Amino acid sequence: MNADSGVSARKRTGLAKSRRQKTVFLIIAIAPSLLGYILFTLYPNVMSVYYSLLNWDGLSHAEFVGFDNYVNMVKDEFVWRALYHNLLYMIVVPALIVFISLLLAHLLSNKSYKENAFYKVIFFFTNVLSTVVVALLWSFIFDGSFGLLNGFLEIFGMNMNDFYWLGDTRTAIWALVLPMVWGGVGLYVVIFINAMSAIPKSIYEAAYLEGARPMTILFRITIPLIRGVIRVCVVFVILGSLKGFEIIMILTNGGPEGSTDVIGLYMFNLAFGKEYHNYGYASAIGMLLFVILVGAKLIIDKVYPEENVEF
Amino acid sequence: MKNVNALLLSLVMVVVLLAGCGGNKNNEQASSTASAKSSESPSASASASSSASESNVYDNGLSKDDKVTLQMGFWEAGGGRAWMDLAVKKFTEKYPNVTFDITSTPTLNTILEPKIAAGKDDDMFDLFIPHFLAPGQLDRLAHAGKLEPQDDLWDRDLPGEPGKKLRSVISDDAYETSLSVGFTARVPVNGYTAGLFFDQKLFDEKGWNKNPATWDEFVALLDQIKADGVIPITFPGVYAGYLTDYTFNILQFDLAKANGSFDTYVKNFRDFEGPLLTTPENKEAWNRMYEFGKKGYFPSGVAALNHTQSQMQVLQHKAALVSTGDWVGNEMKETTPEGFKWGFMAIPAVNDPNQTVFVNSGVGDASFVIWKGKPDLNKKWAKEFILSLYDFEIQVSLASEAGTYPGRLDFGEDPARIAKLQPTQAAVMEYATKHNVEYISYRHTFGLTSPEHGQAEKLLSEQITAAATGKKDPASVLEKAEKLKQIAIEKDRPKQ
Repeated sequence: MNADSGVSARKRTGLAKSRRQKTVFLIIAIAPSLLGYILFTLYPNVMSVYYSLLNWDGLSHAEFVGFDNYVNMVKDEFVWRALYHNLLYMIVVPALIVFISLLLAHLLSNKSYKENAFYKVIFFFTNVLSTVVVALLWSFIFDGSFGLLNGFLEIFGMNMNDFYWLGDTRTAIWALVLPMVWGGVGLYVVIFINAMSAIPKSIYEAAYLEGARPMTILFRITIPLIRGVIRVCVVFVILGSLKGFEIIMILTNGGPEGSTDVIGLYMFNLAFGKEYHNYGYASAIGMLLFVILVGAKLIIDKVYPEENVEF
Repeated sequence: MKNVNALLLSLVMVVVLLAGCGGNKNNEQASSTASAKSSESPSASASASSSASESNVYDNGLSKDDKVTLQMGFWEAGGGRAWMDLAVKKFTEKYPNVTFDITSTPTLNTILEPKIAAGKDDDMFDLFIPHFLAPGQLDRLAHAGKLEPQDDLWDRDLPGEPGKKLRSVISDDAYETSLSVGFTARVPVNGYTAGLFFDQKLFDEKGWNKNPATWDEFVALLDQIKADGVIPITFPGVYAGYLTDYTFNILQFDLAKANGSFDTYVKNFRDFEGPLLTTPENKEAWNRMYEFGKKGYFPSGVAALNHTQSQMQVLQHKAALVSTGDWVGNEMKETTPEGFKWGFMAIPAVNDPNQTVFVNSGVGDASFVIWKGKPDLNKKWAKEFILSLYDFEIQVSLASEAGTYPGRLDFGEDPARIAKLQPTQAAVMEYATKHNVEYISYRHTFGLTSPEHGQAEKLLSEQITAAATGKKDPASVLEKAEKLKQIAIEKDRPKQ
């Protein structure tokens, strides 16, 4: 009896010690990252909530204005116009990026082109370039006088007569889709290729033996089996197209006549723009963007639920 | 023991993280500076010794024994830093007890903004060029009491010119601009001018009028240019304010001057009294821009042009005139074709050939502010250095090396100095000799920050390319923007 209780007491002590060690290990592992997260992410974000209640240019005395900035925001036609443009980009850009990336990844994974490795580098190359370089490249392409696009169209007898694609309200918003997609596809091609390479070859072999065609294989086997990866990519691209504005800022700065303005750019210009400087109002719009991003994520989760596939 | 080690390890990791975050006070300088530094003393180490003997005192009353290192934030713009190197060399030769620690970078704003936000006087520069991303930041700093007043410099003798006061060589507009924040936050070491720049050679070849003296002559010129298959006026539509700020917004002052209401008009403009955008003069200015747009005087795809592209159109003779600042000559000198000769004109708003033609100008980017929270001795020496920049040798270097407009009105009294000007500045001076020119800036007595101001500015900014392409009458937009502006003015007007 005594021996038994001695053993169980030792076990309990050992277990408690093990738990303590585990706790210490967890603290060591998590504390630095957690501290960094609190300092550099959580704290600024929480402060943004406070700033959104101020009329403050970042320097002079801040005036507490309650929810005035939010009221102004709701009445601000530029906010709604920018959100509309975001909505357009949110629908078009992710769809094109994911579709083109899937197609290219499927070709590179399943076709034994001699230049496969070269193509992978070429497709990924756009991700190595900075956004500024991508934007400037496309500004040369779209240039009305010397642009590649007008030159290319002229080969087919279409004289665009110095037409500036980014200078017309009818074309600017759609012209911007091209650099966004061109700059975004490469990364997802690489991700999809890696996901596809994890699918066992035996599944494809069986499908071929059954007489499946390439498109059937793509839509019935490949895409369903990498559904989880596609889902993550869709989330990234949609959220990215909601908050990204760098290419737009460089190419059109929201013009002509606001036809390419998006919410991120509007917020940036309110905080750091040439004509205006109000951290408070910009923070209120930042809060709106935050709510939209969280909302978009929840909608994606609902529409496109996570499913684990095992093979 | 293991637990103790683990705890110690985690403590070390946290300390290292914090050290990494906070311990970079001096690193940014190391990464971006070109230092003209001596090794004697740290920046704020003005080892004041008030008991300096008479013989150890300079003419300016400051001691020769007090070693001072001035920390300077220098915005190395397109004009380079040769003029600053010369200024520092001359100054330190004359005052060997003063040394400089210069942070010289084209992106000074990225260093200034965090330093100001950090709010530590010790970390701040003694003197710096107030180059910020946002407009109005200088005003905000001044109103927040962060800048040392430089008013005493106006009554100081210019270096090497006893009896000649600084104020006597500064234009009235530049002087008033300097005082616009309620005190002299910076004296205008140099300036800039803006308007319509062109290639004189092209104008000569085509037989175009290089000096239209009346509105009708100006319109006739644009008609002729268009008839010759060249775009009359270009501007960077991506930053459309280049057209209004430098050219068309000036017309309101020309018109007010012509109808005899200039003084009241300018006072109301500066103080935000009465309508700002819907005055008859301003509406007329915008309407003229719209009429030009309908006539096709601007490029059809102008909204897509950045400022380099628009300036290139003039260099390539696709456009005749570009609305920009006098920095264009320096900015484009690498691509300016041989034989190209810069010319300048402003728009004569009425048909009186003797009318006053206003030219937009402002305090240039070589003018320093002094941080108020620094030691008194540093601030005194910073002022001495700023005053030394009015030495003609430095002013000539600023004009010839940096390609800026000289701050001194008497610069042009010596033809040898005029010959040193870069082509665009020389073109403006030449224009000023042929017309009744007055310089004017857009300063106001207080700044607007309310959201309505931002919305009004956005409306106006978007209207510029719409008017310049003849698509949208500006009248309704001006009315709408005016309402928003008036709300902002009401909210932001300083309480008495």
